[in-house]
Amino acid sequence: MLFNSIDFLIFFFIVLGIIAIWKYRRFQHIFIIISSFFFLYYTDNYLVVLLLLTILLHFYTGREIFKSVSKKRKKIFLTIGLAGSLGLLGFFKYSDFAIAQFNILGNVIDLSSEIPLLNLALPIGISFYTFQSLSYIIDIYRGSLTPSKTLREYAFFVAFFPPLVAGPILRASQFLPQLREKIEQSHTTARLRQIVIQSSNLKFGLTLMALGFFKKMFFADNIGPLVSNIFSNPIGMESFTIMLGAVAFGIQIYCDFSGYSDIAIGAAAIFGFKIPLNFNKPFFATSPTNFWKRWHISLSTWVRDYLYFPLAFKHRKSDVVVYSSLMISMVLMGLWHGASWNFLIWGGIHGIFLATHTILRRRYPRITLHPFFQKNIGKLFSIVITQYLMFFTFIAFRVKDFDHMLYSMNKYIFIDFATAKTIEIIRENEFAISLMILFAALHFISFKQGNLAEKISKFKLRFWVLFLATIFLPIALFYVGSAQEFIYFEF
Amino acid sequence: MILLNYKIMMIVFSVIIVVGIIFSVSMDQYIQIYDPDWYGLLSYDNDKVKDEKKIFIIGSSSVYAINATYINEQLALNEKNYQVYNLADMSDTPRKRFASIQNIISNEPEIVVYGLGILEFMIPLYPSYTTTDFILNPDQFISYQFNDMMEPIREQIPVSPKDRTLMLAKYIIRGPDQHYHPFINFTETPINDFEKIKEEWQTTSYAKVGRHLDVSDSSIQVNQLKKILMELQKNDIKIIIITNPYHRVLIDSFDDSEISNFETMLKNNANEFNFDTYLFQDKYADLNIWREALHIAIQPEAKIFSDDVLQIILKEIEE
Repeated sequence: MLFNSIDFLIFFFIVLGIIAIWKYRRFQHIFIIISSFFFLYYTDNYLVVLLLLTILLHFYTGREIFKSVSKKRKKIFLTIGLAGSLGLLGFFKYSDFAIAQFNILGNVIDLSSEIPLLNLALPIGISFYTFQSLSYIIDIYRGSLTPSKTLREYAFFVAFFPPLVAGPILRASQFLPQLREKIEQSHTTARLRQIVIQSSNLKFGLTLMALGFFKKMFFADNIGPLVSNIFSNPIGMESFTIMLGAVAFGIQIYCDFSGYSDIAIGAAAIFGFKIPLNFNKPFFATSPTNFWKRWHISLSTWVRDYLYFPLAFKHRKSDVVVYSSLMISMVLMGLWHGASWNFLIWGGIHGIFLATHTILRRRYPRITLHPFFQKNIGKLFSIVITQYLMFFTFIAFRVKDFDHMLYSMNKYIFIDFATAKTIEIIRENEFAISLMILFAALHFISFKQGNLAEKISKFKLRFWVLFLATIFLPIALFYVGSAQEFIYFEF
Repeated sequence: MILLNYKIMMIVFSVIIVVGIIFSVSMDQYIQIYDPDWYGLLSYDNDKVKDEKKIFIIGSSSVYAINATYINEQLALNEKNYQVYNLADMSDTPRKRFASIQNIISNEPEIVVYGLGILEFMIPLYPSYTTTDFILNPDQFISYQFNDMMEPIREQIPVSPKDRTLMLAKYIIRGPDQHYHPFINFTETPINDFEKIKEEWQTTSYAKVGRHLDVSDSSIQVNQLKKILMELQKNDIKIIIITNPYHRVLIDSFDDSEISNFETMLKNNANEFNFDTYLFQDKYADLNIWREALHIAIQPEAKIFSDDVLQIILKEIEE
């Protein structure tokens, strides 16, 4: 069920209505769990069973890890949990990729037969709910989390529909306490909190959802055709065209994915749940490290906490260990996005950028304190250089064909200064270009204003109506004609 | 708090309704709303334009590949004092065209060439579902249940609202891009690989959901077509019907009997309203002139369609 479809709006308002009317905590929780399963079942039909399996596996392994006294027993259950989840993820997401690589190798060494591909359907959201579940058992193993007492509570955490399909990736340590939270002492004595639709949350959530729809349906879907025009066959394109394509794709994927995150965070906020930010003005990042503090934050912090730190922490003074841990983490993060070489390359390039930035910081720790970088011009310089590098990585993310990717990267780095075709493309895509300029202006305003959604949600109702109309009208008038899938649904 | 929640929800629904109304008005009536006299196309201050003999080509985007500028040049070479305007509009159907038929009539054309395609008379064909199918495809179950309710709404939404809005905005700001093709951009489009078009067709919604033609007397489109023909005949405007050409892959997705029923419907109307019909639906089906299955490319190599329409116009003028 796509967020940007009538089906979702009907589903959402029915669930919201029932939750608002029926104020029994247990019913509300069970109803949201059933609705969440229906939400996934509607899109993924029988593959919803994998979600159920994941929930059962981690609920019971988590409990056993917590109960176990010996370290060895804890490790055994952790291994079962990890192997079960990663096994499912690997089988459905990576088996065909592995078979294809094996067949290529077989051709090289002249093996006579090939293994047929399995052509499995990729279960929607599996990468997200698997990572969410893994953090749960790892935190219990580390002793930083108490397991859920009831299956209902745990199922609610994993299956909660707003972030189920494309994140943000929730952490049990952030979400479960919200479920267990007490209502204000004055209202109840010890009852666990029921879901109350509060006006401030409703307004904030709807504002965020409206902004999410705006990002996805107005910006991302309308800029997408320009990106496809350029990267469907970039051979022969000028450097500036490739740069335009890279910037356009950067904006497209940001609006697509952060739009989805906004809708998910907004929907959760209406039910009274806080989901942490997934994006924080990434196009104002001043370094590769800073970029990853602003882009897909829930994944980057997951990788940092559960992959990079365990790899690097013990020998963090060793440069080689730190750099190789960064490379491994980023390549695996690339692989998380999809079973394809271009994602591995994308992750690898980010690994190189992060490692280089870490080396520079270690060698010249005071460089950021230099007067030049304290001035606006210095900050602007950092932003421009960082964004030039980040947009470069988007080429690997977008262009799957290896020759096309190499050509595009070559043109991006070695600028040919030709402009004739670029001007032609700009003329043919006036609307998409105008949207990119408009996006840049709005992104800047949003950067300057801080939390724009929260500010808008505090508008008086008569101004808030105008905001909604200003958002909904362009969405309707510039609708591309069919609900476009979110890019991160593929992952 | 509860009262405020209701107020907030009422505001959201009200905004959705108001935006929906603005959207449907601008989508459905866009041909009329910017100027009833089609400013920029026909200027009544100019006697030359007022007195010229006009031929209008109307229909969906499948007829926009007819090059009116080229036909005008050829008519001038043949010393025929006529001006041809291609007024094709995106996703046009008889029902939509009827809403703007008075604009056509008020501009007093001598001849109207009406391109009609089988797609204009097509309705989705939902297969009978078993319980297992419903369980495995809940989304299809829902769309099947609400199909009767949704179909008229869906029909009102154009294939691409964005294109229509941009056209409207451009028209208001700059006037028509092409004087003889005011409603759809007449810029060159590529001829795509014949086999690739076949492959891509399988991914379209047309191919995924079964469709069939409804050309019975109870069909809304057939009834609206009759009304259009009646109005044109009443105003002494000569009518020529041409059927829209399609790629082989599209033609083959319909039963021969259905296409035959479509032709019979046109023939019956031709007898009733006294007009000529020219069948093009499979005339170019195997030629390498297509942008995709529904549209002939706009290219010099693909001008066969314009040439054929030119010959029809010349013949009708001489008659």
